[in-house]
Amino acid sequence: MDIKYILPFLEALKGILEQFGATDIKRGNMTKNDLMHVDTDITAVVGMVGRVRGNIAYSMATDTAKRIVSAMMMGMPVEELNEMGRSALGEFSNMVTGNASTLLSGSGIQVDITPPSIIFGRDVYFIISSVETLKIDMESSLGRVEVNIGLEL
Amino acid sequence: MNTIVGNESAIKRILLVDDSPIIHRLLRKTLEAHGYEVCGDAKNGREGVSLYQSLKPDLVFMDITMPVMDGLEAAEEIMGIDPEARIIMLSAMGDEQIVNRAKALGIEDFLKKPFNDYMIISAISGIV
Repeated sequence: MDIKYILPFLEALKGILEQFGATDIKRGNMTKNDLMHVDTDITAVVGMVGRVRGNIAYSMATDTAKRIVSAMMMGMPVEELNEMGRSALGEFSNMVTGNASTLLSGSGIQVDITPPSIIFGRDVYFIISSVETLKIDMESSLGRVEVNIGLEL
Repeated sequence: MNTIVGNESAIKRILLVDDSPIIHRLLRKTLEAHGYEVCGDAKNGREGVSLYQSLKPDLVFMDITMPVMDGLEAAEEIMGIDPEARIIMLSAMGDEQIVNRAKALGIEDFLKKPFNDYMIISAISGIV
């Protein structure tokens, strides 16, 4: 997968995390998989259509999700991920993917995105399309977010 | 004798159209803190068009990526019903093509998510 398709997602995620007050943002491991497989508690998935098709999944542990939701709600304490929390995570993935698609369009790649889906549960395989998937860890003061990028190229 | 003083702006009642409850909550908090009334909450473009007709709000905040009917289609329908409608797009999608499509419909402004209070209030103040 060409790096030019990957960097916009990482750049967008970094930018959004920064706007929600995260610090010490740094890229961690990158692994290549034949299928999109996540083994964290919560995953937000956004579909992409247009010049590039596929799915982007942002997966994280429950504690990280709570910290992100709390940051989005101006520091309000988050005890459990209720409907408002799930909505916030969906919106988080929508913001990152939307901002990434704006960056992609800057390189002449026009895409559109679908409304997000939130999946609770570990050990989930997304067999939406059999495309090679890159998993990149993004660490920050809010915790680790794994970005799973599966695009048909 | 007119004794009413306060917000002189023509904008008082605002309709929110977004599929995400968190956005409704954050926007409502910001708007109400600045003296605006949220007169309706729609969760997709189709509901937005229908609530626009029944509520006749002074302003609409419109998301783009939504199920059933997206915000660009909804904005187009609303402008068709009421060419004087005031709409501010508020979306995570902000590439030039989409912004230009939205502006061609005659919208007031295009704001990108994530947003903050300042962006929202200054966009409303910018409406003549």
